[in-house]
Amino acid sequence: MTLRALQYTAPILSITGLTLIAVLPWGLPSENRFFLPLLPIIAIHYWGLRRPETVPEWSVFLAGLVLDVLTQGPLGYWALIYLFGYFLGALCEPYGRHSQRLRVGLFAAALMCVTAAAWLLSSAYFLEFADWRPYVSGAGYAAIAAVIIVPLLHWLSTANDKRDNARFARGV
Amino acid sequence: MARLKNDKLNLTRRGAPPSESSRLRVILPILVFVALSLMLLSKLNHSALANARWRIAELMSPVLQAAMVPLEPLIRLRRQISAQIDTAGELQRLRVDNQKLSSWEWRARELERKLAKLEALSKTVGEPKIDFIIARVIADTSGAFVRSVVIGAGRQSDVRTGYPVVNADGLIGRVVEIGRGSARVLLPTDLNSRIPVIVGNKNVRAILAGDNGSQPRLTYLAQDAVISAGDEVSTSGVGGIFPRGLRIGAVAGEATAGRVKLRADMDELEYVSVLFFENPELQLIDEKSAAPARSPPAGSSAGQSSQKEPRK
Repeated sequence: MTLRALQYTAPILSITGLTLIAVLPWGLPSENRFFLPLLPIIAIHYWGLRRPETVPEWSVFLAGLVLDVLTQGPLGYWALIYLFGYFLGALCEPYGRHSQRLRVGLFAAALMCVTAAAWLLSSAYFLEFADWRPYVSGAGYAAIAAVIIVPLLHWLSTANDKRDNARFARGV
Repeated sequence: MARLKNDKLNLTRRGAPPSESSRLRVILPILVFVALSLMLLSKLNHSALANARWRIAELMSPVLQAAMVPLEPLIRLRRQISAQIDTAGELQRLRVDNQKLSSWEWRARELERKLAKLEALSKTVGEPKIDFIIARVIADTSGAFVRSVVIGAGRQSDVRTGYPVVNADGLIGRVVEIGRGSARVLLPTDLNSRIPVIVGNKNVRAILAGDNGSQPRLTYLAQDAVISAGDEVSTSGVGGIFPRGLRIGAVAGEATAGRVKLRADMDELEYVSVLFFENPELQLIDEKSAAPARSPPAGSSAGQSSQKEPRK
């Protein structure tokens, strides 16, 4: 795969990879597995801020749908949550290039909103309030996982940038 | 020039950069609508949707099996670390268990001998031997909505819907969906799981019902039934879905709550055994429906022809 192709496929590949990771048997207690479906949200938000043109809406929708199929949950549930995450990423995009702190703050806010949406939607599906604690702990674990995942995504993103236009980017 | 037109350099673009609203194209509300419609159909339990879903999941099973290969060392490492942390406690527990089991082994052998004698005296029909295969868990689909796992054995390995699944610790669940090379196993903790069980030495009958929690609860207990914490819970065999006597767990905490602590750790499943157990009631129905089609040969009795060859 050429570097140019990798540049455009890295976002979709990373979202797909994290979606698959979410369904693998990690041996975690069921209550602690809630953070796994939130992992693709990290990639969706990251690429939404950095390279929104490389993350088409349908890819986000399909990632959610694949997760719905593999987790045997209601079809469209994670697709809807991921689209919501994508929407939040799109809203944050203008502020994404300001500072590292702002980006971290935006990610934390997006993660909280997505978790709240996931809890509300599952409550609406069951027509009763779902237990909120696994969702909150899931968001916490997802934030910890982001500490590992984001540098990897950053490496993927900047490795291409450096090769692409190192001379032009200098001093910008 | 092409390089100058690169989006990241943004040197040839006139006017203001595109606003976020231009990014949120019309496709987004369409996809949201599709997702909501799918959720609604899922809520209505549309059968076509369930079939399509399992077909797609089946297609994904080779991908999951391939994904497991590089991740297996990581999973093993995590298990080793957690085992190392609790080594001293585990060793102590094993010593105590070993002492208990030694005395139980002697007692079990005695009882086995007595039982064999009694069965021979009373001419009791022995229980059929159940064949099995061992399969690997390739995906854990437990989440907010379901508690199930996907195993890497399906129709190719003669697995059928309804077959019980066990491991060394006890019952894991039963096969509910089947594909060519994979099957979905519904765990006892799932909201839709109902297992006829017997509790304790008095063989109190009940139904073990999952509620997506870690400890399923006992329902349909008789009003005068007395159960206490620590009572063993095993399958009763009623309904013919499971063979009798598969260990499930023990009554946990306060007996009035009727919660059962499962023996098998549903979160640490790696390899499981699928029992080739056919529902005897269904076999009876099949044979009854097949009987009028083929007229029995003269002189033969129904009892002689109903024997089925054991599965190899």
